[in-house]
Amino acid sequence: MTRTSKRPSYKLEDVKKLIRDNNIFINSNAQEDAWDDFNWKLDDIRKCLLKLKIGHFYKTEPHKNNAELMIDIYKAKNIMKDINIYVHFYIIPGGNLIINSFKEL
Amino acid sequence: MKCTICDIKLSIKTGEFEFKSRSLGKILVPDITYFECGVCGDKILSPEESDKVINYVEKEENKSISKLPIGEFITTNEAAEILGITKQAFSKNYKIRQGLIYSAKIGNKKYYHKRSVELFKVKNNGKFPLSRPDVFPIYIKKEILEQYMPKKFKSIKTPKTIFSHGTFIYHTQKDVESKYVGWVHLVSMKNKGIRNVYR
Repeated sequence: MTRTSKRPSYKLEDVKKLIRDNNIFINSNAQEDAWDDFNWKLDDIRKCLLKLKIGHFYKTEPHKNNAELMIDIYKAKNIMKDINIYVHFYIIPGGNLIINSFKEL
Repeated sequence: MKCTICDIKLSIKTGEFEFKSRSLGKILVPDITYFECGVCGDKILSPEESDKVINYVEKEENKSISKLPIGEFITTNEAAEILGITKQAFSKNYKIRQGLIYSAKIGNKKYYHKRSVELFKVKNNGKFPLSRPDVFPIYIKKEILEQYMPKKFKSIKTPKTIFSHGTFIYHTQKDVESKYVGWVHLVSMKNKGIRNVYR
């Protein structure tokens, strides 16, 4: 059985606070895709994530390798200029945001 | 920090960090500290280290772009014409400004790589693999290479000269690190060479 929900597992304001406080880490695959798709460094990704709105939320679901870990997925069109993004992330105990995927939608 | 997926402690590593980019393929970025999960292989970067990685990759990409033949670059007007937009729209395009079309500055003028412009027209991203044979050395034991290399090369016992097989070049290196003495230095071309050898 899959557990997906239309309500995010992590409050967007909490996510944004972690970004502002620099409590953020990025998975190497996400950084590779962000570079390939947009030529973006982490600072660009950060600016983009700060523009996320709850309306961009797509779904939350358990990580494919750990059912206990929920991942929030956002799809945002025209979030910056004509950039469309697909991003998913989670917060780890201790309060760090892990950007698990970041690519062009 | 723990790997939330595997529930084990992530190991902190410092050294060469493998980064895959569309332009450069696999690139080893020196002196990076990162977290790695020994089980799932996930690699996590802090903001500072992520910037270090990207700055290095960006520099290497620019180096490779600057090695592209000058005759393959076109003016902004010509590039805009290919895309079917005005020069103004071309200059304002966010993705182009971000560098998703390979460009080079000569004097005060910016020129764009024609193939990159054409790719951008189709895919909205003008990045393509840049040939970097000088920075893609792969070392493989001679015996292993001979076992798997195409039959036509079986007679070559000690390849001293460079042999080209369309997709890869291999040769012995005299000035390699001592741990590679007796190994064959193999250069990946278009990312196909290694697959051919291992097949």
